[in-house]
Formats: sequence, C-alpha cells, structure tokens
Amino acid sequence: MLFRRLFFSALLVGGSLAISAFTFALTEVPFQNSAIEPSDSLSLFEKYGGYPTVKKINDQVGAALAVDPVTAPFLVVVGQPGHDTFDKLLSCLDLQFSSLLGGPYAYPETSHFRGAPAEGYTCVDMRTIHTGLNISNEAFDRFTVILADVLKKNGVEDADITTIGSAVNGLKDDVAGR
Amino acid sequence: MTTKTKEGLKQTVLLTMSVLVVLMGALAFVHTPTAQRIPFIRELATWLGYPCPSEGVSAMTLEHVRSEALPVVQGSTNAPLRPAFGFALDNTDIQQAFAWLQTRGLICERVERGFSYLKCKEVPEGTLGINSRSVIDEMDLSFNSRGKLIAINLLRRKLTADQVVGLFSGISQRLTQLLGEPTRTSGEISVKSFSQKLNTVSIEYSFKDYLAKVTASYLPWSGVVLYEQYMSYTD
Repeated sequence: MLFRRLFFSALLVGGSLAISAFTFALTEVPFQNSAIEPSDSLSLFEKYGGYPTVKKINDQVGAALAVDPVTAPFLVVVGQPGHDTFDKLLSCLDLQFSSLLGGPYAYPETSHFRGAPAEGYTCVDMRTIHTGLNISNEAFDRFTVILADVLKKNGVEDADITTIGSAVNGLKDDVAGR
Repeated sequence: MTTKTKEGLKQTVLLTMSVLVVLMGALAFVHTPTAQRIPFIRELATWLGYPCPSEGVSAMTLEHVRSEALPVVQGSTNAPLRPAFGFALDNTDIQQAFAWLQTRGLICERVERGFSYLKCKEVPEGTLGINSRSVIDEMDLSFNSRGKLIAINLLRRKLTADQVVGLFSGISQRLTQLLGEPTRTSGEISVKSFSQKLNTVSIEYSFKDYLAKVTASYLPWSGVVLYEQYMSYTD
C-alpha cells in the first residue's frame, strides 16, 4: 500500500515536472524582428545598397569579433551541439540584418543566403539561440560598440546608426544575461 | 515463486519506475531555456561536465578562427612598438602577469574559455603606469594555447560625454606619441558626438603584427562605453 502511494506520488511529481518542462518550452515567445520603419519611402536596406552591403558589414563584424579573444568564444560556440554552424550563423545574421533594415525578409524564417542548402537554413529566434551562452551586459556592450564602429566605417549615416541602435536596444533582453 | 517474493518484486519494479519518471521529468526541465537561466542549474551542469557552451570551446579552435579572420583586419607593415602597459605581447606568460597584477594589489580572476584569461574588475588606471584617476570597469588579459599574452582589453562603462572626451584625447595622444599617426580615425571626439544613440568615435593603429584600437560609443542602456583593445596580430 505504501509503495502504491509512493508510486502515484512520484508519478504526480514527475508528470508535473515533465508538463512544466513542455509548458516552459512552449511559452518561450519567439522574438519577432520588427523592421525599422523608414523615414521616407526608401528603406535603409535599399538606401545602403541591399544585400551586398549587409554581407560586407556582417563579414567585418564577424572578423572583428573573431580576432578579439574576449568576444571570440561566444562566436566560436557555433557548431557545437545545440548551436548553429558558422555558415548557418552568418546566413541567419544576413537574414536578420536585412529584415531589420526593412529589406523584403522576415526573421526568424528560412535563410537562403551564403550557399545555404536548397531547403535553406531554418533560423531560430534570438532568445533561443542565446540561451545558455551566459553573455554578460559588458560583453553585449562590446558587441554593440564593435557593430556601431563597423556601421560607421561602411558609411552608414549617424542618424541611421541611431535608428539601428534603437532596434539593437530592443534585442538586449534576448541576448544578454541568458 | 512465493507470494512474498512476487510482492517484493512488484514493489521494486514500482519503485524503480517511479524514480525513472521523476528523473525524466527533472531531465526534461533542466533542458528548458527557463531552467538554464537558473544559476544553480548552470553550476550543476558545469560540475557534471556539461559547461556553458562558450566555456567548452578549445584554444585550438579559437586560434584557427582568429588566424582566418586576421587577414581581414591586419595592416601591411609591422608596428614600431607594441605597447601593452609594460607587458610583452607573445612573451609574458600567465604566471608572470598574475604576479605583476598581485604586486599592484589588483584582484583578478582566472577564467578558462578556450583561451585563458585574467579578468580584473575596478582597476585604477594609475596602477597601469598612467597618470590618471580613472577606474577601468573590466580589464581582460588573454593568453593563447601556449600560455602567452595575446591581448589586453579595457572596458569602461557608464561614462559621461565629458569624461569620455578627456579620456579619449589622453589615450590617443599617448598612442600617437608611441606609434605615429593613427591608421584610421572615425568620428569626432566631442561632447556632441556622444549625445546620439550608438554614435561612435574610434581611432585605430593597425599593423601586421599589432593592433591598438580605441572605440567609444553612446549606448542608451550603459551610458558612454569606452573600449580599448591592444592585441598581438601574430598567430
């Protein structure tokens, strides 16, 4: 009798934990990228030359993060179990940045950039991809400073960098402290 | 098989099953993003040999990625000097650096994340031999797979525009005296520059074997952030 009670109690506790686990997983609201509203009819994506500029900026940001030993481990984590490969990361970054600048893309969706396979890369939301990386607020600031410098280096106007800054600010909670 | 034995077997099976159900539930829970944000669960995972992914990367992988990226950023000539606050890039090892920091009363934590790091917080700039009362929020000394110093990074946050203009000018003067004119400048060092979100000013002394770079940016959530990078560019 005691063991029957014990069994049902354990079943109840275990079941509750399992249900909570799935509920937590389901209730993680995916981040929906809201594209920057252009001040006139031309989006920032079009203004700065479309995808080739996005790719160039992402290549330079990637290189700047990779040579800095403090930021590199967060980049190199890709390709490990549960994380993107490097190609997929860059492909999804291209999609995200293109979408953020008001290009004809949505994020997170499937990316076909950078030699993606025929079915494309399925990009995940920012919150999920950064969970477990333990990115501190200080590390997030380093990333942002490096990104802002690369934008400026590529001729993005100060007013547009400010606009992009507001969008980056909106991503902070999904990236840092997770 | 007697009734007593059967009952005992039944109880054992039930107990085992109940333990398994609890374990499955707990395992499912610790894999959720929510659970991974709980510090205790992270520490437990590290203790069990499943560290935070960024702590699981190898120095060799970091060196490979770094050497691939170097041609994109490095200059074409060698630096006349490679200033690094008295340390010798590619030469000072982690024990020497640790001893140096200790003699200056700095408390630094050793962190392993592929490379080895000495991470120091709240560092008075005066301890680095600079005539200044400024405090550096974070100073990171990075060491490669051979245990040699490859970079010193300084981060200051929550500065005012006035503070950053003074600091930036001092650093740029010091570097120009040692390295000559910067190889790239971007933006204007002025209070006005740091009133717009993400507006950024940087100076760069980029060589084939060395980089000194100072970047300041106004981040609405952190005030003005000043980031100094002094890195060896040899791989």
